[in-house]
Parts: sequence; C-alpha cells; structure tokens
Amino acid sequence: MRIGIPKGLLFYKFGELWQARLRAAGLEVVTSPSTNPEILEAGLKHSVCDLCLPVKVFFGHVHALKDDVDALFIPRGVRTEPDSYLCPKFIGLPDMVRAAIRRLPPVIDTEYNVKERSDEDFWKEVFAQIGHKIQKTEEINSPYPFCKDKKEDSEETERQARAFSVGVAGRPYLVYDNYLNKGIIRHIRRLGIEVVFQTPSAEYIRETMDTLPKWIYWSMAKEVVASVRWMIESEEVDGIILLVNAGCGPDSFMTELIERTMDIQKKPYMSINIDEHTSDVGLQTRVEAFIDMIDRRMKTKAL
Amino acid sequence: MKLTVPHMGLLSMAYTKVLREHGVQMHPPPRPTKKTLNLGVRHSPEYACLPFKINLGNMIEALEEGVDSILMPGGYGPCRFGYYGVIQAEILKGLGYRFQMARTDNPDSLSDMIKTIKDISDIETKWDAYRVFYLILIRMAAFDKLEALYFKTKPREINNGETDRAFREGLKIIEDATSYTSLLRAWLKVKRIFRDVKTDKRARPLRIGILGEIFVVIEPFANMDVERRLARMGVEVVRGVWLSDWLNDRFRFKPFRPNQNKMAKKWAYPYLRYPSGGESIESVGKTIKFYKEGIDGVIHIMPFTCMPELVASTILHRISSDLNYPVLSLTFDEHVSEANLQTRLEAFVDLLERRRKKGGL
Repeated sequence: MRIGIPKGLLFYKFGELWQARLRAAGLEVVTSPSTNPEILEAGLKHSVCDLCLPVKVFFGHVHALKDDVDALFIPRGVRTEPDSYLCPKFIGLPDMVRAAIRRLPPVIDTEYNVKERSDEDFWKEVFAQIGHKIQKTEEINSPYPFCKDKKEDSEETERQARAFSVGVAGRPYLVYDNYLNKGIIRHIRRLGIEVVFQTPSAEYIRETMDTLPKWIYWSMAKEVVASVRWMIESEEVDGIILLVNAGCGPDSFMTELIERTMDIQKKPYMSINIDEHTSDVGLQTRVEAFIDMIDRRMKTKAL
Repeated sequence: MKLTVPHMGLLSMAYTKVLREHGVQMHPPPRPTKKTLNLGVRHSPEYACLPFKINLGNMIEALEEGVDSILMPGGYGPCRFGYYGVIQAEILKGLGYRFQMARTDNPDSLSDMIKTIKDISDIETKWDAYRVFYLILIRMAAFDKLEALYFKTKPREINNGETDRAFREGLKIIEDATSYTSLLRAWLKVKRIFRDVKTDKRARPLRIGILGEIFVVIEPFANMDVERRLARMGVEVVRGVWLSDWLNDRFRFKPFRPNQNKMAKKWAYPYLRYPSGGESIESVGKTIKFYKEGIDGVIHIMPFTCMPELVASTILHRISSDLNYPVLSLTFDEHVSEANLQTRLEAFVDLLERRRKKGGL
C-alpha cells in the first residue's frame, strides 16, 4: 500500500514524524516533489481565486500525487496545542481537497486535535482508516519534530563573508519552501549573509504571549510572533525579515500586532508579502537594498 | 460613561433602548456610510476583512462624537473575529484617542453576558439581568421576523413601496416595545400592518437563498443591500443566517427552534465533515437544504480573505457542479462597485428565470 503525503502546509511541521510513523508501520510512503512551476500551475487551476497561495499550492501537490498512490494522507489539523487552533483552512483542508480535485484516491482525514484526543488515539484512527493492523513499533515520541532547515538547497557560495546575519521569520510552509518564497533564502545566502531561523521553545512562546494584550489563539501565528520577538532581542541577528503570504488571515493581524506592540525600531525590520504575482527580481532588489541598509548601519556603528 | 458597540445589522436597535432604561448611557455609532468605511480602511491592515474595517470606522466616528468606552465582543478562534478588539484598540491608541475598551471574550457563555450587563448598568440582581438579556434576545428575534416578513411580502406587493413603509413602521413599533407584554402587543400590531399590504396571492416569485459570513449577510451596508436589490427585482429572499438563530443556538431562548448549527452539520456532512469556524458549516449545509427545498438558487456572500467562508466557497463550487445548482459567490471589500454588483445580480436572476422556464415550471 502506497500512502502519499502532499508536501505543503503541515508537512513542514510534522512531515518527518508522519513519514517515520507510517514507514515504521510497514507502509510505503511517498511525498510529492518540492514545489515547482507545474505544481503551482495545477494548484492555481483547481482553486477559487481568493485562497491564499500555500493552500493553492497544496492542491497542486495533491494533484501531482493522486494518480500514483493508494491513499492520500491529509489529516485535519484542528489543534496542535490544547489552547489554540490552526487557521480554519487547515480544519477544512481535507474537505476542500476533496471538493477541489476530482478522481482522488481515498483521503485519510483523521482529526488531529490534541485537546480532545491523545497522539496515540490519533494514530490508532489513522491506521484504522487505512485498514492497517498496527504492528508493534518503536516509539516515536517527539510531538513537535520541527522540520529543521534542511541544507539540501543551500548552496555554499559564500562570496565574501559579510559579518552579519539576517533573521527570517514566518510560517514554516512559506519559509522552508524555496519555490513558494521565491528563493529569497537562497538569495540572501548568495549575498554572503547568514540566515537565522528560530523555532522558539514552548516556554519562550508562553512568555511572549504574556507580553501581549491577549493570548494569540493560532499555534503557527504564536510561533511567528515569538520568533520575531526573539530576533529583536537576540544578539545573533542584525536584521529581521518577516515573510507573510498575501491573504493570510492570522498573519494580517500579527504583522499589525508586531509593528504596534514590539520594539521594531531597534533593528532593521522588513515584512514581505508574497503571492503568486510577486516577481523574483523585484523581491531580490528589495532584499538587496535591505541588506545594504544593514551593512551601512553596521559600518557606522563600527566607526 | 458613554458606551458604544459597533453596528451589526439591527442588533443595536434591539438593545439600545432597553439598556438606556436601565441606566446605561448607550451611544450607538452613526449608521455605517461610505465615510465610515473610508476611515476604517485608512487605518486597518491591508488584508484585514471587511467587518474589521467597518467596525473600526464605527469606533472612530463614535469616539469623535464623544464616546469614552467601547464594548467589543471577542472570542478564541479559529476565525479572526476574536482578535478584532485587540488590534482595533492598538490602532485607536496609535491615533491618540483616549477610551476604555471592554472585551467580552466569551460571547458564547451566558454567565459572562449576564456579568457584562450587570457591570455596565444599574441592574442589581442577577435575576433582573437575566430578564433584560432575554428581553434583548427576543427583541432581536422580533426584528429578524420582521425582516423575514418583509422579504416574503415585498416581491408580491401590488402597490410599489407599500411594504417598505410597513417595514419602517414595524421597526419603530418593535423598538418602542421595551417590556415582554408590550413586545407581544407590538408583534401582533406589526402582523396586522403587513396583512394590510395588498399582495398578489397567486404570484410565484423566484426564490434565492442568501448564505455566508454573518456580519456581511445581516449588515446591509456591508453587502451593498444585496437583499433589498433582489427584493426590488421581484425575488423572494430566503435568508439562511439570522442573528437570532446564532443567539438561539447559544442561549436557547426559543426552545422549540432546533439548533441550526447542529442541523447544518448533518446536512453538510457529505461535503464538510467538521465545522471550520465562522459560518462555514451553515453555508455548506444550508445550500444543500435549499437545494432539497426547491429554492431556485443560492448567493453566497463573504468578505474578502475570510478564512472560514473560503473553505465553504471552495466546497460550494463543487456542490454547484455536482447538483447542477446555481450558486453565485460574492466577495465584498472596499473595492466592490455598485454597478458591477447590480449587473451580476441581474444576470443571476435572468439565469434562474430561464432555468425555471426550461424546467416547465
């Protein structure tokens, strides 16, 4: 039995855990290729126009997979933490996929809701849906194996080592998807700048929430806000880029919240809105200008 | 303390007078206009949804009129609405206004609502607070019934404008009824007024279901008066989302009316198996219900970038093609043009009329 996992959205958070878990149960697991123009094209074709880019691209990934797998693994992400939700589009994702794309293999849409059931129950139901007997498997016990920045795409082309680094914050499925973010990470690296990602610890997130007027109730938005706060305070980072995809509901509020309640004057800060119409070149120019600005600032500081 | 709450359809009419009688200095903002929207848009995040922008404009206009406290319902997701108050307060502070903002973060919980009412008014006992709260709910239900009556009568009226007059009169009568007994009397009077409107009993107007995000559906300013436009074209509007139903699902003041949300869940199951926030489940479920009831078509209304309704809209696309059922999706933000909207509505109505003729009806 071949299970397909589309490489988008929650894959960038739980992908490795899912693959390991399904493989450990003796199933064959395939993922769709990294986002490429054909996937984007297929995604745009299947979606209503106002959807945000990552969801559109997710449809493209499903489209790329659907014909050579026996089942698609698209869990319904409701809550990954007891006190917060994911964006409504994650909650409706399996239903949206089923509605948008025809001739699908069965979709495994088990509800992932840590408030109402344990991880163990979640997997039990997944295997029940696949119709697979759970074999004794070794425990895979980290609930949040955050997809570390895999170095597969990072080209080691440090031309001249500039002595500073830029922090990039944003949702994992935007920051780590090199096609979706228009290769912006690669571009910064090519300029000889170190890129810093930060996945804040649960403790740090809680601390950050206490500084805000009200707790944020979206898990991923929490991480974004906390990582921006970390970057503002950290010595390791000299400038901050916040990547947001246009039309992202939670982030439209979070950028506002960050800009109004946090001390973003402290460091060069830029938020970039990305959608399918964003041009690579325009983006590169903005990034280069931003880097030059940090460069100048560092030089005047050194004098 | 001069208190304001941003507009949402007829809701402010339901509570203003009652709360004033109990010592609250209610000062509703002016009805939203183009100016309200412009104010809201100017200070809102670019991709915020339309209700946020209209609410913010409302708040600014009320503050300009000397209001010093704002009450904004909140919540804990997954839709953005729960975070409105926080961002709006930050924006208003940045504009230099001085005010207090109270958020009721559990608008679903009865005890919280009662506590809020007791806090802002001179009501002393809990029992009185309950009585006032339920009076407001029933007044809201009366306003909703009045609107339903309007939608039913308008396409059948014989003398143009008579229904509109009856509606305006009805609003006044219900607004003035601030006790349980006078409300009952008022409702009987409203019914009489509508009975006197001359209608064509044999008319069989087209019926169009209206579904979507609740604020945009019930606030005529936000949807550019879609429902009355349709009514004027001789269409009977069947609205699927009512504020009183939303309230009834939570506070059960109409014990015999089934829980609409639960019903919608059942209808929506083949397409949407889990409520994804907002009115997504109602939009999907009731589209299927309207189809089964023989309503001619559905118009689905949502604000631009609304997360829950985008889920619904994706699924409605599929339902429409699966059932061969006309569904028109309308997205509203500050850029929608009136002429464009009118053309689309007329085209949709034409399409439905042609379908009806073809179906031999």
